[in-house]
Amino acid sequence: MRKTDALKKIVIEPTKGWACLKLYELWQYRELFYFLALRDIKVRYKQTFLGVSWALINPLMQMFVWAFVFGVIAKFPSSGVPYVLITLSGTIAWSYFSEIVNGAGNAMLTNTNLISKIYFPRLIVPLSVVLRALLDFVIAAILLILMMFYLRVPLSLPIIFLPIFIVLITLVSSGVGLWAAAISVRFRDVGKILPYFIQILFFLTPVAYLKSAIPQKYLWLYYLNPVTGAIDGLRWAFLGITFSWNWLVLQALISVIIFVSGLFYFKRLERTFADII
Amino acid sequence: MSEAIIKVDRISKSYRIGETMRHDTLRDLLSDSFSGLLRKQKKKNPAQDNLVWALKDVSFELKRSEVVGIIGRNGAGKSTLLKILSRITEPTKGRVEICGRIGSLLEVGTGFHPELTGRENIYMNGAVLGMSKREIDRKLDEIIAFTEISKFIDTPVKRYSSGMYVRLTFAVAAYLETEILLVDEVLAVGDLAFQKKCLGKMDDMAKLGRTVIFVSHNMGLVRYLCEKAIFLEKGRVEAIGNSGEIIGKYMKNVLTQENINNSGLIASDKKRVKTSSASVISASIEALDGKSSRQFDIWEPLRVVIDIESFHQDLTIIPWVFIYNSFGDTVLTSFYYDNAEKIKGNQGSRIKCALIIDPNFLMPGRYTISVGIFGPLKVIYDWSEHILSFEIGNSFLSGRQFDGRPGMTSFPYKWEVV
Repeated sequence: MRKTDALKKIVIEPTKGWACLKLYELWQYRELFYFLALRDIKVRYKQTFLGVSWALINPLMQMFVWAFVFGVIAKFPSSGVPYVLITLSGTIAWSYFSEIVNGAGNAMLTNTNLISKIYFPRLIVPLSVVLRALLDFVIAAILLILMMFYLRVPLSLPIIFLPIFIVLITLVSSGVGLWAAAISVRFRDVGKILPYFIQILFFLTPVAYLKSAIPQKYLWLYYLNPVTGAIDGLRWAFLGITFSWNWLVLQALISVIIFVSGLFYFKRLERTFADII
Repeated sequence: MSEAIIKVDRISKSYRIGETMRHDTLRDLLSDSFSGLLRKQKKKNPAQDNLVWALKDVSFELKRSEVVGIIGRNGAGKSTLLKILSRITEPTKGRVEICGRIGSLLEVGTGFHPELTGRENIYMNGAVLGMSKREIDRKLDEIIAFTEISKFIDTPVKRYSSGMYVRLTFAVAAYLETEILLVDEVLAVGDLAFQKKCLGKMDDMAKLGRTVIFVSHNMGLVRYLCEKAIFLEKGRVEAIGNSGEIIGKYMKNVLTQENINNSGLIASDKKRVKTSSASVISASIEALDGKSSRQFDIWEPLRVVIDIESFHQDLTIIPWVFIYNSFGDTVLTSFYYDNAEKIKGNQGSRIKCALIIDPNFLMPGRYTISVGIFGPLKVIYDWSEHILSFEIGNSFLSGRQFDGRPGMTSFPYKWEVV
């Protein structure tokens, strides 16, 4: 009897409809976020010759390629900032976005053995990808700051707003990732569609060019894309390129809707995962 | 002490046949929806006959520090029950109340990542099972000591043998301080000494007030470990109570004719472990001259013939036979590789092999056999339990009478004056 009263009672019942999120459970398993991310990071660079330096090589390559294509060949406007900084700042934000969407979208299938054998809140699987992506983001951001230092572009006050934009990208990307993850359990097509989706969105988002290159009449369409706002904001925070707060409210709202709906949709399908994965 | 720690109240679990297959790709969904539009009159007829009840109205209560065995044939719902108790899947109906944390040991190496070292995997697995890092830190040395493979603890587990995998799996779960532990036949792999160690540990756990639920086909183990047993049959609780008694009931059930397809032909609807690599078409018990029989004299040899079909090219097939006595103890396990090379199967090829059982070995009584085949690394291709029964009589046919000696088996070993 000694401990029974203190023990938490677990009730197993069929859940119906839109289950509540059980966020307290995520908190109980908080260390699993860390361990899953740690596992992915450790495994990713095992048996690679260049190891962790891949985290630097990727953004550097993209920076040069896009700067060459958009800055040198197509001669897009650059607001007086070296074009490599425009592409690098865009790239680090975009890589963060696409890694979360891709990673979360495929996370259920790469962790099939865990999901079909052990109980834990399934939300942790796609969400732990954020931690891993954040590490790459930090490494790439340091690279950006070094580049800015080298090209004598000073950091200014707006940098303190950087966290807001990171949160924004995190919300959109993990929201999309959660939708993809939940659907991927049943339809393996998701793994095939995601790369196209990300590639198309790459060109429709001002990653390798500035918003000022977009014709005025299409601008409103761009503003509906929450990633646009986040990347603009990020460029403002790092490089001081002008940015308007007005649209950010709408974009933040869209981000939150995508994220919260993703959470609930995932949670609704969660109970069927072990049966059909 | 008498308070129930697990209360299972009329749980049922249904699967829709083909649920995993239907709409596996978007194209299927689209074409199905489209053809659905054309056949409008067949509107949403929830086909009840497509539902398979893996569990039906299962109820029981377990108290603190009970060690309970769950027995039943393949497909009786044992694994589904464990999956529900460990919250991997939800019941369709019913309710379970559990006081305390649940640890589960459902499969070897679950959650291990091959690239990570043994030590990293201990942390990883501990975290998945709900342990905190501090808790694991505290017990790490004990866990590593228990595995007896401390030398390899910093080696990636992809280089481990299957025995080492089991050691690591069991060690993590054993040191997890949950109030309830679910164990599913992981002990089947691993060497005897380690099995003993695990069994000892399970006993200790019960003494420390932990409740252990143990699913096994090994009646000897269940009788040894569990004071209580639950007999599942076709998704229902057939009997529950003292383990010796329940095992007796189970074996009686297994031995009744209706449950044994004594033709030796394995019906395709019969529930069993099966993959598409190879399957057992039929099994028979016959005398050495090939005459099928169910009744043998203790002085007569007999053979178990297995007919196998391979569905793949160049497939390694290892047949096996288990012989159980009427108490459900495994009297004999025989693998094809004991005395011969492996069998290679080709696509569509039929292979017939026979296990010859020497005379003067099995004692008089009723026996059942299970036959199966596995591939390399003991991946089970097919497994049919208790498909045939036979009887060894203490008959007078040979002119000599059985002397009624005690023992599970007998063998005319050599004596000499020294």
